[in-house]
Amino acid sequence: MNTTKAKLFNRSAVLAVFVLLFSFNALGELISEEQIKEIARNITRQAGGEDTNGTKIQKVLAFGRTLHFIYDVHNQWQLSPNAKKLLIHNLNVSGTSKNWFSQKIDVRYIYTKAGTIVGTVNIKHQELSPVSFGLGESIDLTDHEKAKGMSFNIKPPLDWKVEEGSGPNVVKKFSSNSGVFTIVTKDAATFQTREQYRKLLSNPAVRDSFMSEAISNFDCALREGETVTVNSYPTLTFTADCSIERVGVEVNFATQNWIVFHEDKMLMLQGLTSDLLLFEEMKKLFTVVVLSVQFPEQFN
Amino acid sequence: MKSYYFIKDGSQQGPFSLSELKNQDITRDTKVWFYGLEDWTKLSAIEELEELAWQPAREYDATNGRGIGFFLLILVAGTVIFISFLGEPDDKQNKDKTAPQTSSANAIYDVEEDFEMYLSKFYRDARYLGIYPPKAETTIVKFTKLDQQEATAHIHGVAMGMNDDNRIEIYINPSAWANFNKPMRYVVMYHELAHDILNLEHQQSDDQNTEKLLMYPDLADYRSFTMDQFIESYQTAFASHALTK
Repeated sequence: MNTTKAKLFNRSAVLAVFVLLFSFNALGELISEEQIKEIARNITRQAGGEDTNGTKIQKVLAFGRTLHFIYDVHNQWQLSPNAKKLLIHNLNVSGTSKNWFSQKIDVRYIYTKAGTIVGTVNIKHQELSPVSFGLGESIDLTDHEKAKGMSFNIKPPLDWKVEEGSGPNVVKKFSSNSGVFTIVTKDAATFQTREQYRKLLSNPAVRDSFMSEAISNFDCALREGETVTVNSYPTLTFTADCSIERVGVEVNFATQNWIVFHEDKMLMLQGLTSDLLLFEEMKKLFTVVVLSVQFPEQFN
Repeated sequence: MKSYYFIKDGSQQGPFSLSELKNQDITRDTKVWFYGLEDWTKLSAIEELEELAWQPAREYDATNGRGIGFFLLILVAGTVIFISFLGEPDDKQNKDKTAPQTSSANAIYDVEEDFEMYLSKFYRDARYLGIYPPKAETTIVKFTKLDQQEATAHIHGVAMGMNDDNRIEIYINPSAWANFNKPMRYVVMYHELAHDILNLEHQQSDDQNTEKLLMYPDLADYRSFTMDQFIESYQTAFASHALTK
């Protein structure tokens, strides 16, 4: 196997994909099938030499939203039983998987020997999700000075950075390259029972008021909210598409918010990402984090 | 059948069966003997009588004529008490019970507890329901060792500023407080504050009335309170008060 050539192929292929996809990902747009064809042509042009295990790339074709990587293999070549796992690993290491996932591009590897197909590996874009849904150790925030007397704990996403919040009401912040999750506490006007809060939230005008207040620091467009339950407490959850200006640059991001109504407090949980194509996947992770919230005191 | 004896006022009482013993005027400190015990032993130290020593606390209101010594103390001070007796299920049995001998004033001490938080929330919640009580000139909310005496009286809290709009004076029993969960602490504090700030009297309840009432003096019933029940109970009490004004 010619490792140097393989690495060169990976680098050039990744560069080609990144250059083409970067602007689309930033805008949160899906590229067209015609543009996927252009990517295929670019990769074919730059992909000279051998890939791993002595396979030699012949060309890359695009059919619909599927890229076909066609390889020639030598006589002794056999498809490894772990081929799919290894290919996904390589795509993750090179950073390419995130692009295929975000742009909903499936990939198919076709191995030929003297013009005859001797092996194929199909990878759906959903299999290339860059988001890990594991959670870290539970953090007890009961005695936190910004918890306002609330007793609760929460698990951060696995391997995300856990920091103290910077604002007066921000208890903690979890962050990674793909997003940020913040925990905020606020005082309510008075005590309300769970039933009273549910009744209150059944009023669309009240829901809108809470949602607008929660994202008042940003320029946001609200999507429809709904009332759910988090560890037995009524909770308003909603999505918002927002933008904020930072040193003259407008940054777009999407947020998923939860406002948990707890006695005379509100626990506000907000997950956000600027990778708009990744948002739906990140939303699932944020939901897993919210599901880890526990108010143990209610059972004392 | 096993026979039980105990010492009261220096003289031996008995024999009693276990069921009879349960109805006697005994406390956790009463010395008991039965065949098999080497010596007279405090009730609380006898494993098989543990049930008697830790019978559920009963709410006890000194203003109703129980607990003579403490009643006098309260009468003098013009106070309302939130009190319960441990180990004495029958109110009639308590009539001659020795009252607390220790002056509560001597036992007041500061422990880290944010009583101010309860006070400000009480005013906030009153205002939210349209009640604007005058601000008292003097506010004292402290722990005091209300159960540091030989009698079995177990007082959870005392409100001494009722019908005096310029005074909030509340003493909380730290040992009771330590055993209370969050809803229970809110119930005790809002109950006492409702006496002193809103001048609310105790509300009577009977066996048919299972509703959780903030001003109902039988504290034993509050042990199963949830925060939702506490909230409903104070809202009901405040709303009734607002209607009468």
